[in-house]
Amino acid sequence: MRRLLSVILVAVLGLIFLSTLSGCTQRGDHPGGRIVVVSYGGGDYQQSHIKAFLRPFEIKYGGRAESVVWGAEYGRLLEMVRSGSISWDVVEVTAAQYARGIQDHLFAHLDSSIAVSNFEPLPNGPSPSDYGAPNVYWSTVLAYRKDAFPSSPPSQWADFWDTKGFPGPRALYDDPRGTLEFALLADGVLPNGLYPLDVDRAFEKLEEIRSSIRVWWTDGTEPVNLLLAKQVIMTSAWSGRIYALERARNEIAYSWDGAANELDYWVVPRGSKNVAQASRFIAFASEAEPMARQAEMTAYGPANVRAIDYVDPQVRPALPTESANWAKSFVVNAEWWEKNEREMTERWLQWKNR
Amino acid sequence: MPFLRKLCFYSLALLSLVAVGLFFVLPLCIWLGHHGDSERGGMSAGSVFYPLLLQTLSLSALIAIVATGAAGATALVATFSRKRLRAILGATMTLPLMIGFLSRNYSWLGFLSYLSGQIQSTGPNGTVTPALLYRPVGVVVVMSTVFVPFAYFIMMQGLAGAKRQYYEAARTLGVTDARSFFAITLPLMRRSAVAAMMLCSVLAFGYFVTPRMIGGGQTDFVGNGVLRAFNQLGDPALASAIAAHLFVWTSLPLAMFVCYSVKRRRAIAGDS
Repeated sequence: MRRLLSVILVAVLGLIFLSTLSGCTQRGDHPGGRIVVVSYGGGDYQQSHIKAFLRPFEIKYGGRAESVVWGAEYGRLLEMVRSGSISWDVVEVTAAQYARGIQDHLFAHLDSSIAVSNFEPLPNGPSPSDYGAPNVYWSTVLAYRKDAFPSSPPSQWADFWDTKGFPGPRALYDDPRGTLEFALLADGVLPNGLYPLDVDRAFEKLEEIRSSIRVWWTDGTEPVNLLLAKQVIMTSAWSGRIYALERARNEIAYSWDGAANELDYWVVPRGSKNVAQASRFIAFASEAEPMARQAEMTAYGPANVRAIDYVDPQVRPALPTESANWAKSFVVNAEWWEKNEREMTERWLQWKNR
Repeated sequence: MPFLRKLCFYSLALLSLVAVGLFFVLPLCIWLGHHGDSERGGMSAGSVFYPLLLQTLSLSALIAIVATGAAGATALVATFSRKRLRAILGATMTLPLMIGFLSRNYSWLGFLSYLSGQIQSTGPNGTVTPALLYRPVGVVVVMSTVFVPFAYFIMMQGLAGAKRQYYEAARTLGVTDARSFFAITLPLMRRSAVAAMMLCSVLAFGYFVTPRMIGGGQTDFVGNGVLRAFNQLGDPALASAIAAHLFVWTSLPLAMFVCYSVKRRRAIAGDS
């Protein structure tokens, strides 16, 4: 009996050991290896990455592409690279983090033998570089319930701040990036005169609305759920989250006036052991057709203009990069935020915790 | 010799506290108070996180009081009830613990949203005004519910000393039931209530998911600050300093309770 138990124990331990070994051999820097791709935000956005990029990439190159989510916490990526314990191969970062990450030497050089093909940037837009490739333009818009304002809906950030004309609880993103700009727009600053931000003025303006903010949301699905549950009447929200949900499209409307456009990049953390496979993924995800597939699911603007030709004409009016929408919105200044993000985040925390 | 031993023990304990205070707590507070203020135009990390610490302490104390009060009342009912009711109450007390293993925060979100709909408190432009959701009081209610089982079982231990003979003896002496409650029951509950409050407040200090989900970002705890310092600011030193503060503040009630227990034991030993 004891001998039988020993044999079983050894067999189980051996199986465990073999399975870990096989996991190691599968994750590798070659076509058919396993990579981990990190999306900025979960839910429908993550699903769009899986359906438009990851699964087609697996079919084309073999291997496995795993999807995980992060909330663009720069410190987390910084510590991961500093510690040398890299568990991510491709990460989606914001433009400000892209600029900061290059300064901080966080990103690996992409494999130069794997080029991004068929890529045309927007006018004055960035192209793929040694450190990463632009992915998508996404927008933070002023969203509201259609039935709350049947006759004269809010259209600009001054309306968001107008608690008498548009009474009711609101929600805002719990982050200074974008929110400070909205405060300045509400205070009468023109979009082309936003930067450098008048931070004191922005916080003074935010103080006016503070008591009306019911929720400071942190996850992209929250503002949509808050509006659908009628917990708030107006909120800042990511346009793609509203577009992705059919019920949200029917019940929620949003305005492009003063919308904040930001660009995300695909990068490879320095120290990743799968740089070639990660570069292969980035090149694939930057091609026109996969980008078009993703744009149709999220209505976010592809950074590759050639992708627009493949996007369903019915979806194009909802893209941030559509000319009518682009003209009314502004682009968040990545350089300014690259220099000031840390200080603004601390000031934000100080203001919120008062 | 016993006197010398006692003197050494208490002196050693005191010396350790002074050393920790001088070489750890004080420098930590000074560092946190001035960390980075030269880079950020006079805004120190302390000015960012001390208000958070104060909010955490005050809310945790309130949660501990509410949880202990609710648990104490339930424990009293259970102690002076029949066996069956006591068993039912005991089983009911384990429910919050069970829910805690499953999806506590999401359950509360759903329940509080439903509750707000039933109360029919409609706000401007057709919004549903949540009764407790996204308010500090909601955080207090939810977290108190989570800690009630812990406080309940501690209070039951305290009330185990409430023997029937004491009340019968009091009755024979002509003491009213109300007077018996204040003279016998409450003193028996006192120590266990203190222990329960200490435990609940220490547990509450470390929470950050429930305050964020139920509080809607209005009632962040120190744990949220630690997360932000590490994830968003990329400052692990600051995150560690805040976490160390958390450790100090959770140790303080524990240390106070230990001193109280030692003093009590000495008083009893001295009397006997």
